[in-house]
Amino acid sequence: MNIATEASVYTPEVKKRKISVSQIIKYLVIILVSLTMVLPFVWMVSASLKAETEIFGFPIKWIPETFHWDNYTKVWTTVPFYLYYLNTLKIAVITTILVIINSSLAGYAFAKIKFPESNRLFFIYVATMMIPYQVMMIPQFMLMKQLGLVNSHWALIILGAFNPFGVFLFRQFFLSIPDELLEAARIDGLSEFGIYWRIILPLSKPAIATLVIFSFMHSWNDFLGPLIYLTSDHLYTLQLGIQHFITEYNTEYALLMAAAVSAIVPTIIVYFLAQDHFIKGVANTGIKG
Amino acid sequence: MKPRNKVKSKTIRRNRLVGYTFLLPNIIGFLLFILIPVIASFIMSFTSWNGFGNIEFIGLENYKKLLDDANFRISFINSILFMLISVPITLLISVLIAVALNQGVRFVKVFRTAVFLPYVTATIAVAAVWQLIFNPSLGPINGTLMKLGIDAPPGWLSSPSWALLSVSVVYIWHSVGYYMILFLAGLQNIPDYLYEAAELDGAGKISKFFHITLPMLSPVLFFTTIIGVINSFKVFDLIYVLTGGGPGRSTHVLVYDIYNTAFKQFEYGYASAMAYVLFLVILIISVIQFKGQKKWVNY
Amino acid sequence: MKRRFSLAAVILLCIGLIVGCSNGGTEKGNATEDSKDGKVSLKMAVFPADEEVFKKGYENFKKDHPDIDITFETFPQQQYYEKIRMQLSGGDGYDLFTGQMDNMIDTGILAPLDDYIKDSGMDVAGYGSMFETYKADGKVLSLPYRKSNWMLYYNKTLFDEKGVPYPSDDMTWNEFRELAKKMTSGNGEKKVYGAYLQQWPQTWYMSAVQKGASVIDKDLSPFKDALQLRVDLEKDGSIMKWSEQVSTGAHYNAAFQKGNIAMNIIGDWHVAQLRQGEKEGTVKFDWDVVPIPHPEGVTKNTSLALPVSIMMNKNTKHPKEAFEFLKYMTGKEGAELLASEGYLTGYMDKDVEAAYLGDGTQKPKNLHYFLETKEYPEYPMLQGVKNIVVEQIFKQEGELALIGQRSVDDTIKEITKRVKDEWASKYDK
Repeated sequence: MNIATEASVYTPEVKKRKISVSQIIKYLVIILVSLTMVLPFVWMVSASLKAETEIFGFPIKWIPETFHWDNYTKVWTTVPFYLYYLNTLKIAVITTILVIINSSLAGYAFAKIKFPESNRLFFIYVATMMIPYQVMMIPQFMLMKQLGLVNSHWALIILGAFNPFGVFLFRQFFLSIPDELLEAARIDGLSEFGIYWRIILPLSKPAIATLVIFSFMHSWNDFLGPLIYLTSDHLYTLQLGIQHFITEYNTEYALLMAAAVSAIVPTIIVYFLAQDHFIKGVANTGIKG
Repeated sequence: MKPRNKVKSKTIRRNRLVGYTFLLPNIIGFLLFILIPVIASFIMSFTSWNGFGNIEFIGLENYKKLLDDANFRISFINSILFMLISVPITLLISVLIAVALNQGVRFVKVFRTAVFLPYVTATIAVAAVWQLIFNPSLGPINGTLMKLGIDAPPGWLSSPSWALLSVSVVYIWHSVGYYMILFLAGLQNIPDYLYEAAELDGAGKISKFFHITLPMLSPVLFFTTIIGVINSFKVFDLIYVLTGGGPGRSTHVLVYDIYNTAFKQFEYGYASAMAYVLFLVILIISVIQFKGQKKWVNY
Repeated sequence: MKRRFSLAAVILLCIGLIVGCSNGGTEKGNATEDSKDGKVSLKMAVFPADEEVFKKGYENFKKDHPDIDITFETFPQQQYYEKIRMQLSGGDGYDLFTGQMDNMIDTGILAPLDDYIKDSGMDVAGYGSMFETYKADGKVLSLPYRKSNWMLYYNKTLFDEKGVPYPSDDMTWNEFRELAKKMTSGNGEKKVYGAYLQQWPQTWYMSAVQKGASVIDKDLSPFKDALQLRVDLEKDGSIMKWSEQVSTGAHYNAAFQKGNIAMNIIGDWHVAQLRQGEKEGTVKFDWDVVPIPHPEGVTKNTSLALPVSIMMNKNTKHPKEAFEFLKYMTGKEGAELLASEGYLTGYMDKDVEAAYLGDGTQKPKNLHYFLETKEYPEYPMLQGVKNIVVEQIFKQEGELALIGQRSVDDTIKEITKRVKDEWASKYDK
């Protein structure tokens, strides 16, 4: 969603351009909160470009005296970051694709195909969101072990591909699509899968964008999963790599910060790419109840 | 049987077939990776299994042991405390910022991104940064405090009385963006005519907030409280990297204790019992919330 | 009817799953598939710090055993045991693995080695008393390849600069405290610490163990002085503050190599790390070792040891070949290699000693002390006592005294209580 549509909700106020006390307070709050949110990042980026001795200097110098880009070269040469990047990217992309196919199929069944136990099934499925991962952790591991998937990326991909939140999201989104559209298509002789594929999915960009952000982010940032399932160094994800790096180079703060910056850039890019559809997607899931 | 019913039952049968076909991958996944593990760990919670050898059933022993396990008690209290600190503050800040951003602010995209940014970044990387920021003798926070004339600033993560609070701060910082997005979405679903009607009645801003925005937002508030409580019980990465449960046992929370029992002490049976208690706690809190919603949630 | 059937099916499936998991071990104990050309493939898990030397050892081993292929895997030390145990719990995993036996003994998958030892006619005298000490139920379940003794490393350059005499081999802990105070100076970037103690509980409780006390004793009063000493050292400013150490995740190797620490008390493996540092040019000072200080009334050169061993999976498909390599690395040849790298080895004889001391061209000069060290075990090796839990108790409670949250007396009282709660039934027997 862009500025124009957001503003349109309250156009009268914008038109008035009256600078009142409440306006000032509002901006103050927003700016204060935003600053608090961003400051740690600024500190981190600035520290990643400083010399080791400069990091804790006081008062804080936000802009380093000389830019130490070599921190980044050092990090990227001591840790096989490109390998970790590729691993994480592979897991995140495949998981995200599977989640979207999987969840939209189920969401479609729950929202648009009428059979008696559909609502009950949906409720059970969504209720599993409440189960803490710890309850399933050990048996899941044993199961993956039996399937021979431990110490491979597939364990993480498969576990990530089943996401009740995604099903919930798609079902709620599909509910907002009028049934008449589907009826018309059915009369035209389109198969159920054809309706889903040709009509529903193309209309679902906001929901897809939302799930892309959440799913990509979750598998990119997942720590416990790789911690349990991956054992070989060449399979490590970025988060494990970073953790490894933290324990090994804990006194070289500048390098640590450079590593941290390297780890968070991709999710930020994905967010920027998908953000326009994002709010609309969340809004249409009808979490109003 | 009347022909109409016949047609109807035929449609149902056809729909059921199509429906289950669409659901097939999810049902397989659900059975394999959720239902079976949930049942298996329930069975495991009555055993003393350590991952090796034969499984020995010990009845309710594990659950009895929980009752006087000081570690578990401390983790339990810490988890509840953590939830009580972080959930209300997170929700309050995110509601405020969402309402403010929804009122035609300039650069809304910039602000929204700024608030959401922490949420998309990896907790491991973020924790490394906060660890330095909280550093008791060198970090920027205590540096500033000492400049301001406070001689003995708190030890933050390395002080047992401040550690849980410090972790909460990082957690709140990390998750405000997520809830803000949910609230923003909720706000956009409030129809404009309600406000217009209220304006005609001469309602002021504050009155509009309390009489329209808040009631209309109550379903979202309900949803976010439930999600918020569940999520606050699940915090693992932050604790693992920031404090490792310390100092002492001051940030030992339930999920950390479960992880520790399962994967450091290798008491799978006992850890499963702990996990089930956690599940039960979450379930009870959610049920209470569902029961209570009728009083304040407005549909 | 249908529903009931599916429910029954699901439950059956679950039970089958659990049983399948637990029996998996005997059904398919192999770790790796054998290649077609008659070669035997083995998989081995090793400590991250030991990976290099094992690879080196394997290169030599291969010359006489061209038919045995071994792949090594390692994990961060912090997650080492959870990883190998999870790998092993499904039955397959590793044919061989290194580690401290107490973390693995409850799995029941350690192969008894007695018969193999007898058949191979190997000489076990080299292991000294350890061979008997670490038997479990009268069986040998592992053989040690290094001892993990504690040593005091000191930065000669710093002592020379200050004109302070080097630490002696016969120093009480109080004398150590005074020396550390003398060596401490400066502030901020110029800070020189008199000593460094890694944030492991052993670094403070070792002086109690030197007196012969054990971490699960009913009376833990010897640990009071031990904890008090660490508190005092911090009060003197001669060691890094505990809180800072923890919050920055300080590490003995990086810290000592930085060059602003006069004395570092850590294990024998640090020799290899410092030599590596010298090769890479990160160690820019002269250094040496002496035995750790001792409590009043205890003879000098008394230390703690915690052997690191190689264990064999009883489900391995190739026990003969696996034992061959186990024997090689823990026996004379492997010991010579490890000793020449600077490790204090489990197996000792004249040749290994010579390899350990080197030709005098390599640092440190004082290694000879450690051939005569008297050792106490760092942890008790008792069935049912999980040393990882003991360590957690000492860490969690000790920490509260070290950050000044609680008195030393109360802390030891609390530790005593927790230890008793965990093991009252065990050590009363």
